[in-house]
Amino acid sequence: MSERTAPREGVLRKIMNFREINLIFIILVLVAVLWWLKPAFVSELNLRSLTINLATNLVVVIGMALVIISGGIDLSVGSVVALSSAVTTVLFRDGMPVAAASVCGLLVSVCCGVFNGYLVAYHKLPPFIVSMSMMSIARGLCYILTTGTSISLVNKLPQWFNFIGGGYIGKAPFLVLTCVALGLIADVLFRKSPILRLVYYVGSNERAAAFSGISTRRVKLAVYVTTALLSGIAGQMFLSRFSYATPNVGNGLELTMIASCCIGGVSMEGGEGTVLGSMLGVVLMALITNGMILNEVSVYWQQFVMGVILISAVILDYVRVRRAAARKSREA
Amino acid sequence: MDEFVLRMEHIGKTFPGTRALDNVSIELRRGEVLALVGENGAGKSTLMNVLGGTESPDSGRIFIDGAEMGRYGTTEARDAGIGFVHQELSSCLHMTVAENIFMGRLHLYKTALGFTDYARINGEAEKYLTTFSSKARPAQKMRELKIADQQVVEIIKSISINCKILIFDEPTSSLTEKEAEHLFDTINRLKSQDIGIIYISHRMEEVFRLSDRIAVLRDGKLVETLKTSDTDANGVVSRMVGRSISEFYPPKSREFGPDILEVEGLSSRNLFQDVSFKLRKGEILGFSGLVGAGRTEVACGLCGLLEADSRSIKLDGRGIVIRNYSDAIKRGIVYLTEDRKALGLFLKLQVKKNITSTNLKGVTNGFFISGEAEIRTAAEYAKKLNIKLSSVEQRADSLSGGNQQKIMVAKWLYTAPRIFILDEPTRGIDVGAKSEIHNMLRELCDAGTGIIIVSSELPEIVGMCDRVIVMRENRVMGEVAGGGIAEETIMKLATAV
Repeated sequence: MSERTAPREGVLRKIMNFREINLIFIILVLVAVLWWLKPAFVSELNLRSLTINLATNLVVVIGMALVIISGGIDLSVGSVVALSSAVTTVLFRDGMPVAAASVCGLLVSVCCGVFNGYLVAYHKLPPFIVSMSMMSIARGLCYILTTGTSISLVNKLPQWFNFIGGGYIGKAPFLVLTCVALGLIADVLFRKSPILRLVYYVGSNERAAAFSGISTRRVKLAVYVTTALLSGIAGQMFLSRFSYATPNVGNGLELTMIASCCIGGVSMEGGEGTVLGSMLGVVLMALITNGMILNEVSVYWQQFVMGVILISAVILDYVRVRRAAARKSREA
Repeated sequence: MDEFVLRMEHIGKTFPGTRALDNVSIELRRGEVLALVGENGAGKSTLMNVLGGTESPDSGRIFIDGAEMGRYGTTEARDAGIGFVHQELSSCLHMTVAENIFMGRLHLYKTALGFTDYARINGEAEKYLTTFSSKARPAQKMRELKIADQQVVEIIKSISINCKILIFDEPTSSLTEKEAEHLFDTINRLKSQDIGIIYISHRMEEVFRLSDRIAVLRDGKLVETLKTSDTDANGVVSRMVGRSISEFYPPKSREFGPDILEVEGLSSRNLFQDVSFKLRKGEILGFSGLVGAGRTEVACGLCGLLEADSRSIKLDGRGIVIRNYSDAIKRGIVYLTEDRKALGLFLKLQVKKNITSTNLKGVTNGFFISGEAEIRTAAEYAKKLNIKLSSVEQRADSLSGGNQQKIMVAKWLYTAPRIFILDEPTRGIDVGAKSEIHNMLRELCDAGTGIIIVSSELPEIVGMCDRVIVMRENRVMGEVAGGGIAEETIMKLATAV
């Protein structure tokens, strides 16, 4: 019986084994290509709008990665982003102080997570259906609350609240700094925290986790609540940046997030993946969109190209996994 | 025409690490019931899988109706007239009885417009159901039927494709006594239609009631084919177990300490009733019995992995309550599962993450898991248990069965258990690893940990245990200790001869 030999020890091995290295490389190449095609790509204006646009997605993708790693899925993230901002907007408009309204927006998001998590974890309902229902319920609530129109709070919100989404520290947008920092902290926690390790155990083999004494139901409930909370935070950031609520914010966001996770190496079967990878997935997709806009590619082509990129990532991953499996069976 | 409807000659099959079938030859006459008996792992299933075409033999020949079979797979087996009634039924529960009977042949029954002719298949199904005096209706959904009726549908399905040989694998395991009677009538009717029947069962009573001849398998070899009228249950059982203990087991205990675990009246609704036992310090306690006797359920019930009630559970003389598995683990009562792949390991995760999964606190420093501590701990256990790996950062599924088993043992040892329950601790692993695990268990026991072994392998039970509780059909049938522990005594209790 032969065992697979591990690669050599050392710094080089660590870097090469670092799964995200491929993605970082692709992103760097893409940046170089875009720079060469359109020098305007590296203009302060473009970089600023590019990073601000993708910043809130970095927060949402943490949650999506979490729920997929746990072996589930959450299709309601986009709707929860919208609901969180809508609740806060309506309450603030009706006289509540913004801090309290903001907390209420987050609480409503958490409730959405409890709904998903409770039904998935304690009643074993399929997460796809549960979160799809939540997606519709939350979106519906947005329309009900806003009566289907945009509600503008421009020039009404206090300055500190607007600073979150629109402020600058030096030349760097505060929002981008916050989101990147959140993502990096999450990445470290995903790798190192014993509680998040439980999520990997549950996602890798839920029954084995139960047979190891892990209360899988509590873990899953916590996962869905956290995902919804992160979407809620993204909703607050959106409000702070634009000062208005509109019921169709985040439409289709869940699909972009799932695609980013997939590109970032999160296993759709659960148990495997990193926040860093998922964040790089978000960056890659944003770069491609940005590049197409700068190069005046027809809007009609953009969705098409995104689909091709996604399926290429999936096929590459599939080939990688199958090669590894073939290698193993040869050795056995 | 050949006297035999089936002849299997010199069948051999080797799996990595085990010789599953070694030169086995059986034959079957028309209208005869041949019982196939043997301990768990004796090779019955493999032999029947070969016959069914799901497993291809390494050597040997198969003759059906005197004709030698060439290329042989599931399709060829079915076309040659081999039918299976599985222990776990393989019906499509959401489809009708008639659709199940004619599964795969619906395209042969078409109306002029090319749609399925339900009137015709329902009519034909009706005829069969009447012949077998079944109360099921052709248009009924399978899920509405009781297991016994589903079984009849399975039998009809085989008959309707003109099967000549019908294999029953533990068919009565989920039937009531009355339903079993009905099945025996059905089998006798099939006999009279000249169908050859192979009947696999652990229940001696049935074997003697139904069969004309009995083929006894042991360790992948055919021991003997006996005429049922020439032998009795004792004769069969002694042939099933009569094996020399070739493996080396560590010496048993001579001295026992006080009771460390006392379980009184443990019951779980339909799974097992009123199980009481004690475990003394320095003693290895065995749970023996046939597969499905309820041993695993008792172990899971004790640990809170299954819902169970008890009059009392005392650990070191103090009463404890176990509501769920984490309660049990906190008290130091841990359970190593028999199903390594589905329940035991995180196959896709690294070895180190598997080992630390039961006790993350042990490698956590402040808020974070210390990568260095995790590697150190895993390496320490790998060394202690002699797990062969090149790095603790390998994935668990890159290791062999024996080493995977040791990882499971390691993950529980890492919790420093007070009572260690092992379900099939050496299933499907090579002799070397087996012996290492056995020695390690005896050392643990001598150091004061309570060890309970649940095993279907009689030599393991006899070789390792100081006392053995034998279960049959969800009840404790008896207890043997010390010099009384012998394969025959245990087998008799387990099969109620």
